[in-house]
Amino acid sequence: MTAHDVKFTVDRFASEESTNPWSQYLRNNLNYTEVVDDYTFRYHTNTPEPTLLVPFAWTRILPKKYFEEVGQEEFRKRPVGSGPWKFVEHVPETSFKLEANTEHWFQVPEFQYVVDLQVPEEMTRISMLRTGEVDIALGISTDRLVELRDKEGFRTVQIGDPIIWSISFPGTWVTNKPTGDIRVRQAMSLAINRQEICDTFYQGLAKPGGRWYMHPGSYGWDPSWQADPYDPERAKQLLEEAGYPHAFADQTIKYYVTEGPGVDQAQLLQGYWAAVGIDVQLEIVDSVQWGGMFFVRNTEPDAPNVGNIFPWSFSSTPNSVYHSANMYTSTGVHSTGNDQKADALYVRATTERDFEKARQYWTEFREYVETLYYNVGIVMIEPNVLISDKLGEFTTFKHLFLYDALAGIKKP
Amino acid sequence: MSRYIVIRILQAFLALIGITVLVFILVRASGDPTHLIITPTSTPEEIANLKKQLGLDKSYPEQFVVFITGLARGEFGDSIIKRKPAAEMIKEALPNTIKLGLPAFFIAMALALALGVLAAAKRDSIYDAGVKLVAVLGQALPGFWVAIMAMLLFSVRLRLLPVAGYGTLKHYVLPVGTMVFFLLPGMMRLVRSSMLDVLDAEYIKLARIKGLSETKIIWKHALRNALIGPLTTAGMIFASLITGAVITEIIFNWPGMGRLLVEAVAARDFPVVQAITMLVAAMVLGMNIIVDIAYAFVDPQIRYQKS
Repeated sequence: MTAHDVKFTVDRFASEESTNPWSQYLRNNLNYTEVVDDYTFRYHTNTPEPTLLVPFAWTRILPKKYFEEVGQEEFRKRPVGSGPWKFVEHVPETSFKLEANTEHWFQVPEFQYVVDLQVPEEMTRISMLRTGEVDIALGISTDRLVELRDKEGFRTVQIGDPIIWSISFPGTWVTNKPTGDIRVRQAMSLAINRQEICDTFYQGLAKPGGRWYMHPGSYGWDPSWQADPYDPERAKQLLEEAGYPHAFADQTIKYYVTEGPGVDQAQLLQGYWAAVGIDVQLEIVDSVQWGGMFFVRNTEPDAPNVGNIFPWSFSSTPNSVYHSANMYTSTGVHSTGNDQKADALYVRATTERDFEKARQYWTEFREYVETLYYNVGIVMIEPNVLISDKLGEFTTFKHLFLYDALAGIKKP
Repeated sequence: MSRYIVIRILQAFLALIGITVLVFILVRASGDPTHLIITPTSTPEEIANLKKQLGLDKSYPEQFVVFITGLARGEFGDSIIKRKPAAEMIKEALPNTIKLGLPAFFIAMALALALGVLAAAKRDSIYDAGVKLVAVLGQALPGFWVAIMAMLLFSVRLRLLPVAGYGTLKHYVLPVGTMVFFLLPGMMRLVRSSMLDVLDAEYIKLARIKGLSETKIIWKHALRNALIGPLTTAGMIFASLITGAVITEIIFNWPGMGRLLVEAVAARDFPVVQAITMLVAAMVLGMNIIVDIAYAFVDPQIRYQKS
């Protein structure tokens, strides 16, 4: 691999044709790219943007010569990368087979092959684990995971970063609904018994807190940060101060959720809110409709997203800079707020060229936006997978991606 | 007879055009697929770019022209999610569905015929009660439950068969068995009731008076006339097998058309949904024509009326 491969990959990734969500960040501020020598590649921006390290981390380097020889279609069928595994076979909708890259610079896998089966049904995945047809089962619900671990002796391993379950409040500054009042939003946070959720619903596999795409260890996370305490009395006091519900022209608060485990989560919160006197209606909608409300900016006062609540459960990341722009700034697609100070702090944190200062500014930005209650973290869920006794210790990259983690599995 | 077939083909062609328009409208009315593709880092500009790349920034009439033009060239467009031709995806999934559906169909039809005739011929006997019990169980038990129970019993507990996947003959047993369990009852009941109707007919009584053997009466004279209703249903079942094995394919991890369709609908993958729907529509219409022709062969009265 040389700088020519890197330039080829970055140019392709930053092109208008690429629809990868990270491509826009390489494209937006790009002036030009150049190869200085075989091992030096330069990417010239129009303005300073140190946080571009994040989309670069998402850029997988392609072999220029091979790609140009075979073309895109053939490359898709027989891809070549630079990771610890080599492509062997892909059966559409069924499986990927990979072979250990014995010449990898960092991590040579101990197992010769990994076969990734696409099994949509959870019960099938569990049955295959029980019969030994697979050694790792992903996407197992908490109840079954705990049962299989405690009663059948299967081990669990955490792969990836914690999943943050949070709720967002679009249109806080334009709505005449209760969520337009920061006291109501704060009361909603204080009404939630996060520890109880972790202990009972997640059976010990979650921890209170987490912030939008951030977990302890993420860039800019301050160890002193804590989730809001469970304080229903304070919540009731805040609601009284806000004049809830009669002070609001439209008292309806809807919690939009799609079919699946999110409905159980919604019912938990609905119960806590009801206990302090907040009435929230659950609206179970199709995922396309949900996406159209949460991922498309709309700040009209009567828009369906405005004044309502949207949950989101997703893996946190080492760096949440670009995710945060959409959540907290006045141009973000989630349409939560319109705070000029938040915008200014965001720009300061993302354009500072001194790393330590930039990190401190980022911490300050996230501390400030937390006080606005645009988004409220509920719990951090452990990303557990079930494994069989044919596998030994998982040694590397457990916090990154599945295939990287698989490369570090030892034999028992 | 040939005029009748030509008219039926023309009617089917017109129906296919109507279905094409309807499918195009309905899939778009169900929502914008970019809402499922965008991520928390997508900016409004990126979302607009994505729509442009997928051709979804065009008006519906413009999209329809693109769709019809492609169709005229035999192209259904590229999958929005997988970024590969929808026709290619069908080409990969269809053989798997046929491999599963054909054995299930023929086993179910053969069993339905044998058991339906047995139940009718031995009406109110223990055989009839057994057939009715199987029919009730097959129609009352939820498909996913039976499939999972079969998996737990034969794979997890007894370790006789693989849980899922395909490749060996053993992999066929559970999915085919599950499908047979669901195809069998309806057809079996239909054969039984048709046979009971025919066995009460005057010409059967006459055959008995003339001293024909019961076997000859049932298999030669009664069954042929009793088959018209079941034949129509069998044709429809056969066509629906293309997409009808959704639960079986998902639970036993069989990469067929049913699973492809469900995933495409969930992701609003317009080109794939359109391609599969049109294929199924064409198959149903085709089967209708074949069944109509088969009627004529089975029942001379129909043949003479039509000609």
